[in-house]
Formats: sequence, C-alpha cells, structure tokens
Amino acid sequence: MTVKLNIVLRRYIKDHESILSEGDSLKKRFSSKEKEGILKSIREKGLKEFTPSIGCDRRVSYPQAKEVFGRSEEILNQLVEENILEKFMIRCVPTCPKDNSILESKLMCPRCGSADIEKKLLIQDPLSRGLRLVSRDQLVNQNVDVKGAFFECRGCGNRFPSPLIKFYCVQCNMEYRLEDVDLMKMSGYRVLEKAVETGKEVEELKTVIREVMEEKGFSLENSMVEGKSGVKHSFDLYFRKVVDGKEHSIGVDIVVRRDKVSLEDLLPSLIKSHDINSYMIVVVMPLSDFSCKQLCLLEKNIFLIEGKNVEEIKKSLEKLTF
Amino acid sequence: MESYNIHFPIELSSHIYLPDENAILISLKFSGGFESVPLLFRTLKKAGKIVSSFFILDGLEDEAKMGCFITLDKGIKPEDVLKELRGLKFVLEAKVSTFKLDSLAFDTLHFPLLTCGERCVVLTLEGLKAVSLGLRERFGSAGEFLLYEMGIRYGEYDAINFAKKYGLSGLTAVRAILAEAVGRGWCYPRIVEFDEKRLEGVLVVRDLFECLPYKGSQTSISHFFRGYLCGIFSYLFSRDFTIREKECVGKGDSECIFTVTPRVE
Repeated sequence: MTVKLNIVLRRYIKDHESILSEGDSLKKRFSSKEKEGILKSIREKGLKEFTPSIGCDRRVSYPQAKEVFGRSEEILNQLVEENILEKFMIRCVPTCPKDNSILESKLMCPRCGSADIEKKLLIQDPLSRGLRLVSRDQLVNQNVDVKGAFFECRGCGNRFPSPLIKFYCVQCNMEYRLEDVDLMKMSGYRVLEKAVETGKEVEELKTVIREVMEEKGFSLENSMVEGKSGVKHSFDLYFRKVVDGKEHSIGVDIVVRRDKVSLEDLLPSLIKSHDINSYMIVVVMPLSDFSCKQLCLLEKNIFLIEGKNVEEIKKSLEKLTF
Repeated sequence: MESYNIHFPIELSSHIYLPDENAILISLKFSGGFESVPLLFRTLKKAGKIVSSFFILDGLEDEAKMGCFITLDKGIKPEDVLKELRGLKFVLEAKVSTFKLDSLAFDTLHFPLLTCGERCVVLTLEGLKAVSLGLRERFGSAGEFLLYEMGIRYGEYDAINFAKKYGLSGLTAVRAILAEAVGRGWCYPRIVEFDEKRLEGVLVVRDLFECLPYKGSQTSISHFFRGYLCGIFSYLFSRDFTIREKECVGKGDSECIFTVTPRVE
C-alpha cells in the first residue's frame, strides 16, 4: 500500500515537474517589436500562404513557417490571434486514435481480406464494341473508352467494384476501420494583406524619421540601450548628437495600427521612458486615444508624434526642436 | 563569506492527488509536546497511512498544532478517526476535512499561511515564470524593467523590515536578509566578497527561483532579484547601486553571479 502510494506521489510530482518544460505552451503574446519582425520576414520572403505538408513522421508540419520563424503550427495559430494570418480549412485527414499521427490507407479484398489486389479498367473495345477488363499496363491504346474500374484479388480471385478500405498507423502498426479513426482538420494559413501593409508603413516611417533626424544633426546609433536598471532596451531607431561637448540621445519607438493606437500599444514605450536617460519620440499612426496623450504629457522625456499618414508625421517631426 | 548546509526540502501540500484512495485531512491541536507525538502517530496509523508531509506550526512545549493528509483503510470512516483522536487526553482540538474534488483532496483547514508571524502566499516557480514570461512577451524590455522595479520595492521592504524589527544595519542586515532567502525557498545565496569601504561585492546564488525555470535561455534572466538586491543595498547603504548578473543558470551557467557596485551617474 505504501509503495503504491509512493508511486502515485512520485508520479504526481513528476507530472508536476514536467509542466516546467511545457511552460512555452502558455498562450504567447507578441510585443510590437516581435510583430514587426515577423511582418518584416513575411514581407521580405513574399509569403502569401503557409501550406501544410505531411512529414515522414506522419505529422503535419509547415515547412515555410519553420524556415521563417523556426517554429511550426504553434506560431501560426498565435499569428491568427494577432490578426496577421487567417486560417482556412484544406481537408480532413484520418489520424491514429492512439498517437495522433496521420494514417496510411490500405485497400483490401472484401471477401478474403488480402491486400494483394489489382485494379483493372473496364474498357470498351473500339472494334468489337465489347467490354473487357484490362490492367493499366495492358492498355495500349490510350484513346480507348474507359467505362469504369474493377478490383481483382490475387489471393482468392474475387472481383469487386470497391475494395474494403482500412487504415494503418506506421508509428504504432495498428490497423483501424474507417469508423474507428479520428479525423483531423488540416488547415492552411493566409497572410492578411492589411497586416503586411502596416509593416510596410513602419519601414517607410523609419526611413523618413532617419532623414529628418539626420537633417537635425543626429546620427543613427545601435538601437539597443542599457537603462538605469541594467535592463537592455531596444528602440526602432536610436539617435545621438553632441552639441558643445554635451551628448543628446533620442530613442524612437514606432507604433502603427490599422485603427486607433491604444494605451496598451504605448505602454512599453511609456515604461521604458522611466528607465532611460535619453529623450524618446513615440511615433504613432494613425492616432492615439485620449488616455495615451494624457499619459505622454506626464512624462518629461517623451514626445508623442501622431499622424494619419507618413507625410503628416514628417511635418510634425520637422517642427520638433532639440 | 556565507556557507549554508542544506539538509532536505520542505513539502507544503495544499492538495494531494490520490486516485482510488479515501484521503482526508486532519488538523490537530495537542498538548504534551514531543511525548504526545508517538501516541498520536500510532492512533493515526491505525486509521490508515499518512501520505503527505505534516507540519507543526508552534513549538512543542505546550500547545502544538499539526496537519496531515491520511488515506483511510477500508471500513474506516472519518468520524471514527475523529472520535479516536478526541478520545486522547492530550488532544485539545481535532478537525477533519473530507473536501475532495475527483481524486484531489485539498487543505481547506489551515489558513492563512504565515512565515515568521507575517502572512505570506505560495507562488510556484512555474506560475511565476508564466507571470514574468507574460510581462516579457507583452512589454519586451519594459516588462523586464517592471520586474526590476518590483524587485526594488521588495528589497527595500525587507531591508526596512530587518532594520526596524531587529535593529540590523549594513552588511549584517544584508547577510540576514540573504540567509532568510534560503528559508523562503527563493535561492541559496552566498556573499563571496564584499568590500565595505568601496561597497563593492560579488554574490553567488544557487537555484534562484527566477532563473531556474528559464534554463536554455540566451540571456541573463534575473531582473526581479537584481532589483531586489538593489533595493536592499540602496536602503541599507543609503545610496544607489548597480547590480549586474554576470552569470546565470538560465543561460547555462552553473550558478547565478551578481556583482554589486555603487551607481555612478
């Protein structure tokens, strides 16, 4: 009894420990920077769709996703939630109820169960107009009229119009009837054009901001900056200039959304501003909501630049004096 | 400087999973100190098997408290156990909880949880990882800064607490707070060097709760604990400090190594 309990306890503790390695299965949320990086990869590679393929392990994988992101289906589903991709159904595939791998089909003779069957074509002889069964390799004249197909069992000689279909799992060697298999929906993922457009706008903005800042005498620096806390913060752009021996540095964060930019979108920038010694420009397109403006006004080192388009933002930036 | 000798871990069971077993929770207050314990155990063993670690909240001088999960043998009812226990002269109070959901028995008799007289809560490493991972994923480096800020406040609180409660200051207070971290299950820290004039030092921390679940990471993980150290040192030495994590178990080092230096503006 004690031994049994100990096993249960140990197993329980082990199960509990295993959660550690599954931590990554927690619902992932991407930061703005990560999203931009993803969109950039998609844009640069000109990807329109992520289509599934069945690997030799009989599991569905997305080779393009693995190539671009290093991960497969998991990230694609996350990108659906982030409105970057949309999921669409391709087909249902039979899967093993035991190990979930995709099953191979097996055609059998309905009488004796032998898998040694041959497909024969029912053709109409062009001369005699009579019907006869031939195997595909016996078909000399390709223009012959094929009326149908029959199957012939090499074991018992039975002829039948449709063979018995069974499924087998190459992983666990189990055989299943159709009614016993599970079905899995195989999906594709389509890139949402609007999301990619947003990424394009970020790139455009980066170019414009760089031009304006360089005109103001700033030079582009490494965008990774260590804060007072020792945390390394990254910016979309980071500029520096020295005036009369005094250094001025400005970090730029760009937030582009299809609709209004929310406070949640700006929070990372607002938080970072507390940890860095430099000024920050937060470029927002199209517009931020009221709470964002209020909060940015409270921060001494943040400039909030908004605009409906790149041109408007350029004009506002040009007006800034440092 | 410090050297602790870890003996064994403590299991605090808020629930126990025992399929096909009739598990119950027993909570007792008893007198008679250590002398009462053998008879108490004999009585409990007659009813079934003690399956989880028990805990004794007070000293064993006068009134002691303990709680344990036991699985009852066939035919034994919780009320039988209760009757038996209450029949013992030294048992002052006995309660049984049979609250179960499926095969899970929960500790619903002992609340709140205290450490050194202060109410505390249990947060698991994986749960904390989920929190810090969420902050990092959602806010990037800003999330790490938030963790650091949280650490600072906690460090300051502990420094104030030790200074006010026990009159400790300077390096002695730091050492006391870090020794406390072992009992709290945070980590196993050692100050390997500290120059009290220059206020510079090195800490080696083993099994740090913040970094341990992140094994396989590319960068140093600790931001909460860095902030915590910063809060402690800054309060106790009345100046700002910079804490850097030079090595981290998260990125494959055997221990986390922190350097402590006064901040230069």
